[in-house]
Amino acid sequence: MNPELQPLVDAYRLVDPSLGAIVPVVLVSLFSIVALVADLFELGTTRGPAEGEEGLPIMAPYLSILGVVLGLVAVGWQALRFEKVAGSYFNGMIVVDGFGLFLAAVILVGTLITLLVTVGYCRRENIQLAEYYYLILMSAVGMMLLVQSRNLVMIFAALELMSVGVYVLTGFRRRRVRAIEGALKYFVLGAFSTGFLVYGIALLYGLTGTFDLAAMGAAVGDGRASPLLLVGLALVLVGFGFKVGLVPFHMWSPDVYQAAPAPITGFMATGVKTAAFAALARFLMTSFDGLASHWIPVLWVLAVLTMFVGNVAAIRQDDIKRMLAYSSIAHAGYLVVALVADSALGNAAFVYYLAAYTLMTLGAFAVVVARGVSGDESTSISRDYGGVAYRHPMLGAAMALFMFSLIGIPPTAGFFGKFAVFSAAVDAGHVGLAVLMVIASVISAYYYLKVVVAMYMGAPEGEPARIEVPVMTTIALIATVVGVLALGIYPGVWIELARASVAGLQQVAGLP
Amino acid sequence: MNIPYLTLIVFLPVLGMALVAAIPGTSHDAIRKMTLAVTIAHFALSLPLWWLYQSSGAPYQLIERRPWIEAFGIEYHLGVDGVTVLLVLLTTFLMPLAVLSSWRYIDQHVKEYHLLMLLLTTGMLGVFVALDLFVFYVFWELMLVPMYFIIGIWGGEQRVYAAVKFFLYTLVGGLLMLVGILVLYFYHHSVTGIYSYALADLLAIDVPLRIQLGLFLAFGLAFAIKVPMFPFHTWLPDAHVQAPTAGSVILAGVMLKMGIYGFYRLAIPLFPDAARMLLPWIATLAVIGILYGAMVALVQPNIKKLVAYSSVSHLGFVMLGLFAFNAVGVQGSVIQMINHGLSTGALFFICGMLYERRHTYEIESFGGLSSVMPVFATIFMIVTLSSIGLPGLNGFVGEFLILVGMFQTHPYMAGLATVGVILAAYYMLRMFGRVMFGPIDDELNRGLPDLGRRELAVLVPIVIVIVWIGVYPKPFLDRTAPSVERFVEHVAATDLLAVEESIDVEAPR
Repeated sequence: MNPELQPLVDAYRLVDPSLGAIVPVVLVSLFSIVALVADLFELGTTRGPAEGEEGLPIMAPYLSILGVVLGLVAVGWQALRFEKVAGSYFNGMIVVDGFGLFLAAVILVGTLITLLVTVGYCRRENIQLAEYYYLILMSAVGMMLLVQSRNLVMIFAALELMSVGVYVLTGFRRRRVRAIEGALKYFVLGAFSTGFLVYGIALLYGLTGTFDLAAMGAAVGDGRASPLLLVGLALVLVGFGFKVGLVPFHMWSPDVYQAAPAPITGFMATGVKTAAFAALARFLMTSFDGLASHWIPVLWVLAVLTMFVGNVAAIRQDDIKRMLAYSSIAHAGYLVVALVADSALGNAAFVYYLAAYTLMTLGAFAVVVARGVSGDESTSISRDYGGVAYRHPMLGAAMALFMFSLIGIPPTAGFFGKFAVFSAAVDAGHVGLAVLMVIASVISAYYYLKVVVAMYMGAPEGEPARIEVPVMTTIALIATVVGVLALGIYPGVWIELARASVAGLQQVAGLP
Repeated sequence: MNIPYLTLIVFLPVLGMALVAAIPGTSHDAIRKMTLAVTIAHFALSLPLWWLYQSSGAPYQLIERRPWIEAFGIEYHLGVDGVTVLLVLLTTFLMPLAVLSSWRYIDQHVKEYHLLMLLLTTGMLGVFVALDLFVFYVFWELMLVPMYFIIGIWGGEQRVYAAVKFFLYTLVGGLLMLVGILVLYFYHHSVTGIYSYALADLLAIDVPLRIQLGLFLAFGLAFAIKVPMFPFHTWLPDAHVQAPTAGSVILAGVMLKMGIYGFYRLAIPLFPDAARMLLPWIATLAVIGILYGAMVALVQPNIKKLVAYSSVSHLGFVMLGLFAFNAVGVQGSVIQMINHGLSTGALFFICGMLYERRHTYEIESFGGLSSVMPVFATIFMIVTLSSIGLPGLNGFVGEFLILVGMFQTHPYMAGLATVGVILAAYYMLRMFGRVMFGPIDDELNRGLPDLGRRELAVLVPIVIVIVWIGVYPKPFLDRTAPSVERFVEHVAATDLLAVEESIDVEAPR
């Protein structure tokens, strides 16, 4: 070997174990750049075609799918060698623990399904730009860092990385007024909420002298809370509350969800929510478990508000994307119920629910994408979904399954998720909250059934055209259907995994 | 070798679904025949249950038990007692008839319809044989979905409204029950340190009265909606009237029994003290249901609605018998469940046959049919009399036992309920008279064909069982007697226990 390279090798040896920890993130980022660069060199690509012109297929979709698959493999590899790779790296900027790995896997699966659906969508809408895929992958990188970090600065940076990509994607169809409006609204309000988050982080840093969540947890302790500490906590809660769409910080989501291209809406509803929720959960459980008596009542109220406002507002929606936006708000409420339980069971229910929610929501959005036609997403439930089940029986059956899963009917993932959340709430003594969640769920059944009613009991308006489902979308649909049923019929394996994954979340102080 | 017999019975329809799904959607007759074959095979498969169940043997038999979701202590746990055996057989007996009855009526989306009927069967049977509360709940909700579609797709004018109402009513009860199940589960854990949803484990602990009351209300609401008890019955007339014939038959014949069965199997044995405490209220509601249902039936111009309200009235009787808490009353209640399934099922079949001929349910539109359709008239008469409770037919056995049982404990209630019997005779016979006798004043009625072979095949088996139970109910009573005895003893035994406990507490040291 060339002796001049020796210092480099030494340097590599020094960081080697740390690199092992970030292999999935590196792979996904690498492929996002490769996709972009491949486009630059016109490897089977074309620049964005003029209006009405047929664009040639590009490499980016396949490269990004490959990147995400490799990322998933890397996460799986880390999970298999968990004993060896678990720990904290880069001074606590990155931690490899069950919680992070489980949710990184959920996020990557979500990204993969999003990409599969996106391929067909972009072909139909003639969006043949590698940037689109690059942005999705970069957002996914932000999400992965968000769930795997234990440092507030890193969490903030990851949150921004994730959000900026999604802001741009929301307004990607830049010739549409509504898309611009949605993107701007999302950006301005997002920036505003980030202000809250940063202010909160600054206060917490000032009071505890650390950005590290575990160290902060030790500094906060179980003792009496100073008012400023609670202010910091509240500000961080507001910041995250905005990102996950908790009432009263949810106002942006219906407009933004409606404005974004349908596959991106699905991505936002699942990936963004999962990542932000995970960071919030880690923040609360690791740093502020000692002050649980202070934030539990606040979250209790937020949960009830979120469930009811989300579900009641969804009833009146005819646009399926808006309806799913409100539905995702309601599901955020259910997730908060799991956090309110503040127990190992609650945290297990929380991550299980995130997995279930990701699958069923992305499945529903895949159907929404498949139902659309070029230039028209056809999102009116009463007008566009009439008799869909007879025009494409499999599509109708899949959508019905997702709707029943979202209601929480067995044997689906959604049912067992709700069951786990109910269990956690009852176990923690919040029977009243469980009953309120029951009432909210019954309200939600009404609007989910509206879709089923339209598909199976309504008649199509005008001449029903054949619904074409691209191959990639079909794969995504099969994957989500199988996932929803597998999580529902054999929840044992998954709930065990979820349980194992949250094992260290609440007493992380012992970690290096 | 150990054959998972109950699993086979529960899931055979799902296998049948695979067979039916393989047939192309356009060959309607092939689909109908295949479904009929599956349901007949299913009945044949379930028939040995009658002999396999030893009424002198263990409380629960043919038990299957294996872990399902170990993290939560959930087990796939099935078993039958005497009452279950009858209800399972009633279900498998009615299914082929239901399929036959929809031969002509269902001419759109035929494949989907038959697939859903089979799925529905699995859901219902699962509820009956589940011995683990989680499994019970899963099947309880599962059967909701196919019924929702059957009403919503193949129903009448107001079908969507009726289907959604049915779904939401049942869901709200079911989910509250789920919270109740969880409270009980965690209470059981706090007492014994074991996580278990097994009915036997949960029965073994003593729950304080305060918790019992709350849980009884949570479970009771789910079951009361399903029964349906007054005042939770309002979904029933809508669902019944809008559902296609087979849907109404299954709804009345089997699904309403789920509510009663839930009280019998879960709510009362798990929370006996609460049940006893709330007995006056429930009995009062049952009597109100009997009288209210009968009086509303009295003024119905629509045959199907009349039968639907008569169901409310009849199920009031069944509830009353169950809450008599003595062997006679409970026995009557169990038999009456079967009777109601048969006679009301048959009445709905008959409504469907009239509808297929005239496309109306209005009593006004008929009259003098007995001269045009003599065979139909005979069978209709038998079924009507069975529904009224004429001695010699099945209805009498059940109602008589219920009234005797209730009279021993609450004579006034029994007295009031008797008025319901009289009213039933009045509205049923009046309806029968107006439809079947009198002059034929509508020319459309003159040429109506009498029952065809297919229709006879639907009604004759039911009539045979109706007469059989009426004349010789002993085999049916024998099957269920030990289970009923155990039920009554359990309710009484916990009473003694509660008394002893209170003595223990008060006794000076």
